[in-house]
Amino acid sequence: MRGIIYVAYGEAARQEARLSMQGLSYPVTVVGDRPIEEAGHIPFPNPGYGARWAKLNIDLLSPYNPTGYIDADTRVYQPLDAGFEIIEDGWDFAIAPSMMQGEDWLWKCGEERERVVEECFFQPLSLQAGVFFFAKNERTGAFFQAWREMWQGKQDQAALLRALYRVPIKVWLLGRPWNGGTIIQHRFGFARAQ
Amino acid sequence: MWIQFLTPQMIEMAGENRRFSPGDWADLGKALALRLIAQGAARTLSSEIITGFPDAGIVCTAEPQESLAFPFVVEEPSLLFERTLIWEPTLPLRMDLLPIGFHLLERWEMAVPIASLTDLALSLGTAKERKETQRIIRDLRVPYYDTRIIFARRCSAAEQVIRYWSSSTGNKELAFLRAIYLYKPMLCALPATWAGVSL
Repeated sequence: MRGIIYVAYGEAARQEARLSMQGLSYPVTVVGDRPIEEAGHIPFPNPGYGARWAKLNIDLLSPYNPTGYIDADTRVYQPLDAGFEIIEDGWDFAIAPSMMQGEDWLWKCGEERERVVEECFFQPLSLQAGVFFFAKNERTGAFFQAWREMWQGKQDQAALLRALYRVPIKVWLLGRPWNGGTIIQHRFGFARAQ
Repeated sequence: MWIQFLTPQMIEMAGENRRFSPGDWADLGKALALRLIAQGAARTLSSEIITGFPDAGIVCTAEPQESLAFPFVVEEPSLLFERTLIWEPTLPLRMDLLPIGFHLLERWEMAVPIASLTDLALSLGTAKERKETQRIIRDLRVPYYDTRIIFARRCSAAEQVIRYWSSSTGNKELAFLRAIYLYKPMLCALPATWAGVSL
């Protein structure tokens, strides 16, 4: 069954998630400290910095297959059917590249950038992990496990690239409209406590 | 794997730290050598690349105007080598990235640069091609690949992709999207800089 997962801890994030899920025509579940009335709820203690540890566990937590993960600080303006169809057609993971490449690559990740190059031998295409769709299967299970193991406790993008290098999966690239564009607008940072 | 240092480096060899200056050569393990190349701290040249990847070669879609450090043939796209780079010689080839591209094929079945971060498939081809492509790939609001550089391992998925793509008429980038969508290789999307795009 298709469904969307949000991760929302604290009132600011819950309010953003409420606004983001308005008009969605799919089941929605929120991983967080308190329920949101419009959605299912999965409690997850100790969510980690920026709730990223909770996010990195969504393959284990999500009741949906395929699952769409959307950051709370977003607004969904168009149907997401194609994102689910891509996974149902046999892709493991669908995600958009980050607009931050080259010198701006992984700009929030500090020294982890060097670690990525060390392990991957090159500067991989940076991905924007605020929106993605995935299948729950053996390959993605191993990939998420690697993502958790690679996570250094703060940002998740560097760990995502290292995990993909260690555990390749079938990745379909989405375009900018899917994360920061006309389909899903991304209001980066609005879910943090104001 | 022989490399030439481009920056000063201290490398542990046989239990001893050795200092290397720019221009020095050393025979290092492949992992360390590739890492130094990726960092821009070293480079490989000519036959030293081949010894690192004896199963790799280049299929050029036209006669190349430059000398190549790998075995090559000029013919239609195919996976002639265990690790093949299909290269359209109108695009200048970054020789320093070849070992890394071939190395990626140890884990991935294909590795291809995206053409752009902002240009999407919906801007390509004719209306008829776009309609046919959307029918297969579901949504055209996706990046497309620069098919002038395709690294591919000889395997079922990659062979089917290349066969479908090279036999398709019309827009080659849309055809490539259809091909990979249909046969779903483990494809490593590379930065557009691999095809010479400035960011």
